[in-house]
Amino acid sequence: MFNHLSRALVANGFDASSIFNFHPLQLAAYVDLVWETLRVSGGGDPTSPRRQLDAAIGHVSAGRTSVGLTDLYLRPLGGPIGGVDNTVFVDAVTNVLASGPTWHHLIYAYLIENTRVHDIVERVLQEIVTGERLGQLSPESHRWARATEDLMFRDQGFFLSSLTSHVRKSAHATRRNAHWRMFALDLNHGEGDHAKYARAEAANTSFVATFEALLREVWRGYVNARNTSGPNAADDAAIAEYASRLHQMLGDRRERGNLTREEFVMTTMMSWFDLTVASDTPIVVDLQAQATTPEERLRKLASRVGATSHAKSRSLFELATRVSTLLIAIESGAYDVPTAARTLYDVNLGGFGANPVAADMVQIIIHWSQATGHEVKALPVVPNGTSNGASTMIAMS
Amino acid sequence: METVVVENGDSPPEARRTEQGDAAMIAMLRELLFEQRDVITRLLEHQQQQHQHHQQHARSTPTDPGPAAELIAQYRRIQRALGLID
Repeated sequence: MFNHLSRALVANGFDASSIFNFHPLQLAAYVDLVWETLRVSGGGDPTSPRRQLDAAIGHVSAGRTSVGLTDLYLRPLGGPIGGVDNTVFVDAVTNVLASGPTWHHLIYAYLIENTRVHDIVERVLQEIVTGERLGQLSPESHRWARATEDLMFRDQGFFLSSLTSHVRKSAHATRRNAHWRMFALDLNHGEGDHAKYARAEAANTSFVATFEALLREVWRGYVNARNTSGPNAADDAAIAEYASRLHQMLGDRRERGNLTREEFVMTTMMSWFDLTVASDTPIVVDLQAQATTPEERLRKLASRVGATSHAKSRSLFELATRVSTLLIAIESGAYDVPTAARTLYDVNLGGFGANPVAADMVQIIIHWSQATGHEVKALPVVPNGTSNGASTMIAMS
Repeated sequence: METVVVENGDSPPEARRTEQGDAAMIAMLRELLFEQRDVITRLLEHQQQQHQHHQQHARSTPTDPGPAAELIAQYRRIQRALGLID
């Protein structure tokens, strides 16, 4: 969700990094406001399957049409900081809300967290608040540090910290529990208390096998899409079957709003970290981690605090937004029928190179193979429908 | 065109006749082979032309997206809602 606000600032003539100048209260208000707006606005394309919470629960401005929670939230702070004041903030938030935003699929949070960006930022913050080993930081970096600590790492703090309580004490465990339930996957890192979590009985243990079977069939379709002679091995019915299975199993975990709040909080949190390394932001510059790619900035940040980022971070960053978009589309049920299959693999459908769905699928297949070490460009195999195990699918190094 | 010389005793009848030097049969076979080669050459040329035509068509003429148009539009809407595109 923070990428929306950053884009809105850019559209209004401000730098993308201006987002890091806002007060934590403003940013927390923004997140809560977007959540409330989306939660109570009901269903509708493209995200209706993910809006199953009862709109009446906790709707503090129910029955009002214009002024209410929104108005209260958007007026907390005044004076300009770092060139952006509350008017800039309100304008940007208004633009975001008017654009019909939605949050990423949970897979986005899983893939971004596997780069280890969360733990690396935690280490950076520890260094900043406990010593001066990282040198003098600019006022902008100090604001980023305060906002990051307040929003992401403070127990019982703002909305983004709301997934911990007496009944689920660890944010790490809460995130791992959600990944387990939705994908039957664990993160590729972490040890000790960070790696402990409750494994629910209800989990999509065949997610990876089914998803990879879909990728294999799509790749076969892509290879055969423009055949003018010889057999065409594309199997549209198989693609529809795998898409339908994914639709059903992901939907099973979302019954009556299950995991919706977790998904919103986790993807929003990861979008903050994603944004932190997406460009040469103040903290990146102050820690001399400037680079041309997110994965390289992350690698340099990690080296400053004695940590290591994931060796496949490039593929994980490339996958995150694409797989998120794909799974949201699949969960809409649009690909449950064989007639839809061609859209997933024919890049020239509608014109030369005009199909963004198939173009993204090719990138997903390439980077999924690289990140997981699973060769999904091999001949299709039939998943057994039971389990691929409970372990991480992303290689450890 | 080379004639086929078969040395062992299990040769097929055509080969045995070839070995026997049946000049008429050789001439007829040769004629047939030439004719077949012409047919195959023409077929290959036709197939190549068709292939080139298909390739040009695929590059220059948009394929009718049919039901895909709405799927592509939906995908764009999701990308927009996620803040990935304007």
